[in-house]
Amino acid sequence: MDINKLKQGDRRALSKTISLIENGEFNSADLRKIFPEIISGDVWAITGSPGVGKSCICEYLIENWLNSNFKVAVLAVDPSSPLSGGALLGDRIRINNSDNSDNLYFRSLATRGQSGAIPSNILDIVNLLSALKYEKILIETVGAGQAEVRVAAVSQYLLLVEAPDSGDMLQAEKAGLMELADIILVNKSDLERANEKQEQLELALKLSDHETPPILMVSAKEKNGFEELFLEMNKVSNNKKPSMIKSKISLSYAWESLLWKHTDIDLIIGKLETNEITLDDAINLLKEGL
Amino acid sequence: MDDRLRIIIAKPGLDGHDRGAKVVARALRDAGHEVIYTGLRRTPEEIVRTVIDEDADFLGLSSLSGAHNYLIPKIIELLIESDCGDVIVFAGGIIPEKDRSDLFSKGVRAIFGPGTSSVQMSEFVETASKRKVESLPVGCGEETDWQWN
Repeated sequence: MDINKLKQGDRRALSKTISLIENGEFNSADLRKIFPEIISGDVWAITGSPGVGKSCICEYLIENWLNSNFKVAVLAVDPSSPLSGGALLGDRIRINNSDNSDNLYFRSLATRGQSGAIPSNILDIVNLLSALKYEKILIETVGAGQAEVRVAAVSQYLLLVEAPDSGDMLQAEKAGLMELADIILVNKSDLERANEKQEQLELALKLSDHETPPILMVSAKEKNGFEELFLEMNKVSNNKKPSMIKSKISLSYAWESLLWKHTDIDLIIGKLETNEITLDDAINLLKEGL
Repeated sequence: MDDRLRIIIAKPGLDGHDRGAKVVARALRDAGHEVIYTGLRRTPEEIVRTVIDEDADFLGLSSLSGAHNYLIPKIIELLIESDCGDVIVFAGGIIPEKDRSDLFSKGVRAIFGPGTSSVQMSEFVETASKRKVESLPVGCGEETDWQWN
C-alpha cells in the first residue's frame, strides 16, 4: 500500500486500504501508526426493514450534506450469500447521486464472515474515513430486527426508518432498535396509513421509561418533511447524550471482534464440531489465548 | 489467498435494457464474487469513479444501444488516466462482429454476446484473474494480444 498517496487523500489508495481491512490485513492499530491523531467524523447509521425506503432517504441526506460542502462517505452494506460467499451489492442503483461528486466517497460492502448484519471490520473502516477527514459518514444497512442492534455499536447516531404496513416488524424492533434510535422516521407519509403507523409507534414508546426519540414523518416520493429531519439531525449531533446501552453494545461488539480474531479460533471450532470438547472447555481455551 | 473478486457491472450511455446485465451480475455472485451493479445510464466519468471507490478487479460493460464504439474506448481511456490500467474490462450486449477487433485492440479482454453461458463467463473471470496473479498483462491499460473467445 502507498502510505503517501493515502495521506494525500488519493481515492484509489483509500479503496485499496479498505480492501486490506476487509481481508483482515490492516486494522485500527496499523492506522494509528500512520495517523496518530484521529478526530472522529459524525457517524450516522440508517436502518430499517427491507422496502421502507432507506436508499431514497440516503439520497436526500447525501444531497443535503454535499450542498453544505461537507466531505461525505457512505458505506452501503448488503448481505453475502452463505452458500457461495458472493454478494450482489445493489445500493448504487437506488442512490442515484452515488457516483457524481468528488466530495462523496461511496463504498459497497458485503457482510462476509460469521457476524451477520454488518461486516466485522467496519469500525476500522470508519476510523480510516475519519482519519482522512470525512466529516459525515453514513452506514446504510438492511435492518432485520434484533441482530441489527450492532449498528449502534459502530455509529454515533442511529436513524430508524419505518413505513406504513411494516407492522409485523414492530414486535422485533420494540425490543431492540427502537430503544436505541436517535430519530425514528416514518417514510411514505403520502400514504393514508402513515398517521396510523406514527400513532402506533408513539404508543409503543410511551410505555417505555426511557427518554424517547422523536418520530418524524417524511415522504421520499414527494420530498416532504426533510427540512425538519435535517434540523433534528443537527440537534442530535450537537447534543449527544451518553448512553449506557450503547456502551454495552459497543463493548460486546468489540469483544466479539476479538473472538473472531483469536489465533486458535478455527482449531477450537473444529474440536467443538467433533465433540472433542464442550462449550465450557472452549471458553476456557479462548480465555487462555487472550 | 481469497479468490473472491470485486466485479462492477455497468450500463454506460442512454440504453434502458438491463436484463442481461442483471443475469450476469447474479451469475457472478453465484460463482462467489462480490458484484456491484451501477444501474442504468451512467456516464464514463461516473463509471470510472465507481471502479475507483469500489476497488474493482473487473469491469463489465453492457451496451445494447449501438454506442459501444464511442463509450467503451472512452471509459478505458479514463481508467488509464486514473491509474486503473490494471482493471480487467469485458463487454457484453449487442456488439457486431465487425466492431470487435477494434475494441479488443483498445483493451477489452472479452466480448460476450447473446447465448453466452454463465459457465463461460466464470471461466473467463477465473482465467483472467489467474493471469493477473501471475503478473501477466491482462488489464485494460496493459500491452497484450491476449483475449478470450
